[in-house]
Amino acid sequence: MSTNGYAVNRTAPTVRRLGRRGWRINLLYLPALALLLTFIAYPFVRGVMYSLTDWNGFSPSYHWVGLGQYQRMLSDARVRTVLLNTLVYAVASTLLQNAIGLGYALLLDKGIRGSAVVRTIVYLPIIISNLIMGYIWYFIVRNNGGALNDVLIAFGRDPVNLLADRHLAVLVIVAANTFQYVGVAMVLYLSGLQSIPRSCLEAAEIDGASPRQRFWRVTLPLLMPSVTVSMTVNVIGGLNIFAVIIALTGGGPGYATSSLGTIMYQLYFGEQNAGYAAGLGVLMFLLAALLGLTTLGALRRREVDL
Amino acid sequence: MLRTRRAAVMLVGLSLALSACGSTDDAGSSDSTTNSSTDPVTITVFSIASEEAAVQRYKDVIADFETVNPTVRVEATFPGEQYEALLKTKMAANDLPDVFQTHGWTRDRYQPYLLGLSDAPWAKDIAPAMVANVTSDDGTVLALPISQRKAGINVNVKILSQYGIDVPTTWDEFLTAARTIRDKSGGSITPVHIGGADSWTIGAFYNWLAIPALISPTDNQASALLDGSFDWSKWDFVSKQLALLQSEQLINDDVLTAKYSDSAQLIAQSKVAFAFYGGGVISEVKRLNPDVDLQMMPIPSVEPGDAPTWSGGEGDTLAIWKDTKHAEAARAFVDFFAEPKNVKAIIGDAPDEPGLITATVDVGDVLTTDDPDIRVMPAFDRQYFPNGMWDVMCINGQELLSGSLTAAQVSAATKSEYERLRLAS
Amino acid sequence: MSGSRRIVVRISLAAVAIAHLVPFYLLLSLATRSPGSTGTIWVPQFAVHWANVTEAWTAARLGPSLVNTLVITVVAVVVSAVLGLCAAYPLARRVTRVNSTIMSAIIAGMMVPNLTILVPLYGFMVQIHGVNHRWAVILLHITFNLPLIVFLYTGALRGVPRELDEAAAIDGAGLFRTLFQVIAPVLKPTTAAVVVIVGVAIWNDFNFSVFFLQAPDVRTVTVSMQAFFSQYNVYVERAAAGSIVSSLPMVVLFLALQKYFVKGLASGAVKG
Repeated sequence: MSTNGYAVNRTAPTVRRLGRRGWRINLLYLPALALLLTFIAYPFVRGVMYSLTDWNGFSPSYHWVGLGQYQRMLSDARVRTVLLNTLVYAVASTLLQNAIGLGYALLLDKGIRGSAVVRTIVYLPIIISNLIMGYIWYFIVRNNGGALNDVLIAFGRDPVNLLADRHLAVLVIVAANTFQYVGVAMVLYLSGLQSIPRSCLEAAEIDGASPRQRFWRVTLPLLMPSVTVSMTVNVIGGLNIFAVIIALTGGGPGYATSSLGTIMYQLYFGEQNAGYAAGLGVLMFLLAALLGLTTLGALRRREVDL
Repeated sequence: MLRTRRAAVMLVGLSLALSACGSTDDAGSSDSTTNSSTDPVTITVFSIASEEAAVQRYKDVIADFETVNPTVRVEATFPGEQYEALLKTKMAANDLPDVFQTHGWTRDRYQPYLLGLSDAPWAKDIAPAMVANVTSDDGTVLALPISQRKAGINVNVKILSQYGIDVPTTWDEFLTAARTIRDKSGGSITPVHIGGADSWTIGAFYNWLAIPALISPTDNQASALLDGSFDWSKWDFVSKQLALLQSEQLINDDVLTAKYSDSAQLIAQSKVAFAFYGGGVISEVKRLNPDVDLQMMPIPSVEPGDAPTWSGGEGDTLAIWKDTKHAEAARAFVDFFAEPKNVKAIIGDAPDEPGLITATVDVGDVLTTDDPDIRVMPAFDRQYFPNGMWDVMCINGQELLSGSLTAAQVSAATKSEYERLRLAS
Repeated sequence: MSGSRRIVVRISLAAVAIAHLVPFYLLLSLATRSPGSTGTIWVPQFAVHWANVTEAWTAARLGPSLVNTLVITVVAVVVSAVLGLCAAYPLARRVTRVNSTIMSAIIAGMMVPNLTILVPLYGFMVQIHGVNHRWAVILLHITFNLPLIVFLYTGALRGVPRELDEAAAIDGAGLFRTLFQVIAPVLKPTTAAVVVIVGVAIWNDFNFSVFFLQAPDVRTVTVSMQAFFSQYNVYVERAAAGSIVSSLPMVVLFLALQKYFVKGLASGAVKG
């Protein structure tokens, strides 16, 4: 299915034609590149510069502190907590979303009547803004009059305060995020499943492979491009969880459930520590690059050509 | 088929793009002339008001202004919770609105960006308590103080009388009252409700208790805080009171996961006796349940021989950007708001005092006492802490309640941020 | 598939559907009750408090906000999909060291956190007079979604054999014709996915809209809905009603594109 490097061409005139305008194809990505340089690269460089100062976010004066903010980060206990939280949010959400998303996709691919409706229902939460979803979840899990507690009380059990335990609170946030975005994985996997030629699966069936073998030996390997895209996209999404955290816990208590994103916002605008916040931003970028590219690299290698 | 579909989509896209470029014309960009009385001028005004009734009051006064000044158009923006973040971003880009509210930070944050207003017609009418807040060190008037806050502890007096309790005037009386309610109500009424998931509620507690603890007694820490010689072990007291409320179960168990909106709901159901929210919650509770009468009491004193106080400070203030291109129109706008009838209109039914001596308001019966001798102290963090300490107080308070920091550690953490911010300002 | 298997699948599907519908049910229940009501949200108020909808509409100026959001979303989605496809094509087809580096750089763009660049970006926007202008925010949305779009399209393009390009070249098609008339139709499902994923992201965007579209007449729905969440007043019921109303256009879009979204793919011309 995929080819790296130049294709083997059997018709020489076509090669020459393709080759002659070869480099000019690259002009096609110039507009995109220009936009990216102007609106992402340039501000990012300035943002990195802020991380080398003690700027408070608004006044015209500041001092250069070199790597001082980064040194501070190393000894700051808050940063450790928050870093761990961010990793949990990213990795746990991704794993859950992909496992459940794949499961849903397999269910929906069977062609049962009504599958289209279920597919729509699962995708719908994505369409709602994540701040609203966060608040809906708050109305479900909150201690006083939450939907979950109403059900528990109706069945004679004690109400629970899921957000009170800081570890549970992190899991609730992961659950809320997974719930909302599982549709993305589902849809990517559905597309992938439907582009697997039936002939492959039929051939395997004829050869006597059981459904489980068919899944692990034929479906999943051929699905790897979807897995790559889905995992990478979800990991980056997980790193950027913001509104759900604010809606459920505000990042608290203290920094117990904060992510790099929420703590950056608090430091930048709340505690007026823009230099430090910018440093955390660079850290977040490095983390995203590390996670994203690792995921991409690891999965891409496992992709199978048809 | 895709060809025509794609072409159609692109055509729609292009026409929308053209409409996107066209229709916003000069929203946000300014005209160049200020003198011509026939050219309409648009000024941008940013207000921190977010509660619907407050926003409406502003809009009404603005509409009146536009009627009286047909050559000036006002583009008013109410960013709500994003106000501060937005203004800071605009300051960094040197792109401030023509007129904006300084919400207590006239001197300590916005001062370098403000136009001097000492020659305004209302400049001599500023209420004495407000003069220091809106005047620079060299005597230049920087902003119009429309109102002065007067805030105290929220109290449901009906609940208190139900248990035979008088409105407490000392902190010990307050604790006793809370304990009585805890014991006698059998859990049906929460003595003090704090929605700690919204960290600002905890900042409010610190802000208010700090006044009787450190500022209002005759022998106080005011100057020590201002010159940096403050002994931070004295800060432990406030943290310890918060921890005490928690350990004696005088506040809600779920203090760290409950939000302000939960407090408001429970207060509206008459399930809460005291709260530390000040004036803003009164209208919200009324909206949820008009039958509940929530009032405000002065902050009880801590030191023996001291008296209760109100927490005050700047309420609504308007200032003008020094680099505005429409100084004349902006001044006319601010002067209009200084008129007594407009001062009253903006204050509405909030328990605030006017910031100008030319205006009077009737506070109604929201306050438990109308004794005029009760001192109105400046808002603690704005007066005695450097710019940026609010979030520090809030977050450290949360950590205290969650058990990860002791009172002494909170004081140490607060001290180090205090020193960093003092250095930076 | 065997009968019992079918039943298991049916039950599973029903369970999934119900689980995913619960939050919407609760949202609807919140949107229909009067403020200050204290019952559990599991039981909706049968006397629907329609004032929530009308008040949400006027208080948040939902009408104009919806129009703004629609304009911004449609233009940004169309332009970014086109630019993204154009960018993906050479990156997928002409794999050189330069192009691979550029590809990695573009993907790295996905990893830049919004907040890090927000403040410098705002300063830059002020200089180019873009604040409070929809075209500026449209450009931002295009830029910030390009990495993902390029990522999706290059992935999809790797599944489209070069024989197709060559066949088009043999037929005498120029570059743009090859791309838009021959390759793009094959990529319909990816395009549908891009339109939905990017469209929703832009529709629900808050950060850029709140910082760059401050004036009341250019606001988007997400920012307008903030009118319900102030420090002292949380108009939950109105916010719920407003969210339902403001989500409807995207729901309609998704329902309309569903068919292309998953079915309808590159058929015989490429595989088989």
